[in-house]
Amino acid sequence: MTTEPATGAERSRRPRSRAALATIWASAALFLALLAVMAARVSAGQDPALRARAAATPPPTRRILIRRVIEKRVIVHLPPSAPTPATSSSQQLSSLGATTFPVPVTRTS
Amino acid sequence: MSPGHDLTFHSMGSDIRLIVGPALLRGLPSPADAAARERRYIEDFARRLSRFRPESELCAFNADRLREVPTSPLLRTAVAAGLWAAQRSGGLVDPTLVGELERVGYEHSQDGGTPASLRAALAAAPEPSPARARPEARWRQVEIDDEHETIRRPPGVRIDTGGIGKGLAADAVAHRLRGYTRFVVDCGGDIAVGGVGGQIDPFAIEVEHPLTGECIHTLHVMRGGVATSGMNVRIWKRPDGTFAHHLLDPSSGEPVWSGLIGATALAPTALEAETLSKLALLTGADGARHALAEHGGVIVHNDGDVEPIGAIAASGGRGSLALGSAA
Repeated sequence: MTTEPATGAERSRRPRSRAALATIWASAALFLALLAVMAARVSAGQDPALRARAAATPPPTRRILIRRVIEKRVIVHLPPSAPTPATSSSQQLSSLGATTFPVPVTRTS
Repeated sequence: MSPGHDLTFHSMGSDIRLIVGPALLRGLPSPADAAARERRYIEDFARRLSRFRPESELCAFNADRLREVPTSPLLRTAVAAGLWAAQRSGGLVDPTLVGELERVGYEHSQDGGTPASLRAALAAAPEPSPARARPEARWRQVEIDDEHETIRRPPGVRIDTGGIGKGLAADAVAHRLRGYTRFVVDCGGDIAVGGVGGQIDPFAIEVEHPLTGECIHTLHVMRGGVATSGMNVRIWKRPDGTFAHHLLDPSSGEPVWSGLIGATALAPTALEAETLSKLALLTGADGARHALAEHGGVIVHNDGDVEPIGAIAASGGRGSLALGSAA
């Protein structure tokens, strides 16, 4: 078995692959470092994206609710002598309140 | 046309009073006709549920030796009301104390009789002591079966609808009068009031002092029930010279001397008011303050002192009380 000496192209390929490897490692390290910094800021509540959105949201408009109170009053005019039917609304209203009978008494029985 | 009708008659061993306002709807009977109709209802109620009428359905039920007895809806309702009162009072208002009532001398109706002197009875009464429930609670053995229209109980367990029946009757009639603007149903002091008229002008109801007969308080009630229990009417002297009345301590079967001679209770219904007033009287002043705290009431101590409780004490008697619907 014989060995052949390395050609010039092979000789120059080894340092280049070493340099590429170093670049990859450096990029990864830089990426992780930036990621750590970003994570620290977000966990501290300093998310720049949120701050920008909050700043962009206009203040809510105040709603004013107007309530209208309507009071209905029923005024009943009773004729002095003319009798009204028992089921007429005027007599019902007039007799809802007043009691002309003696007051009931609760007692031992 | 009359704006209302006021009818008083005697039934259930008491004076019954019906005040009926105008009808709310066209086509209902006039107040006078409605009052006459409810009088027939109450008289039928009393006839069927009296412990003192041998021909009554209640007496037939009590005498039946079977464990399960076919009964009418009215009797089942009355017994259910008695069981409800027992449950509500922790067993103190016990509807199964018929034998005990007979043993202390309440075998026959005392309607029309002259009661013994309450002052003399109090002078001879033992130290005040609150009533206690029976440990074995006979009333828990009574079962109502609406599906088979029967009541089951161990043979020999008898039921007394008593005052609970008056409260139930007042509530039933109030329900039947719900088509009228205002009404008062007074079944011997167990009162149910209702109708929309009470919202405008609350009903004034006077509370009578058991010793003096004076009005000790005027309640203003929009709707609901009011009842009074006391020992001044059904009280008698036994052959041995001791006094007895109809409010028994379930644990001993003897009349209770709790330190109170009268208790008036308010409640959403007359049935509950009757139960609470009895419970208050049976448990004495401390128990009464607890029993009447929710809806209000008035108690009268042995010495005649009057003590308003709950909403009545808070309002000073000036407020109007809405206690739920009586209809």
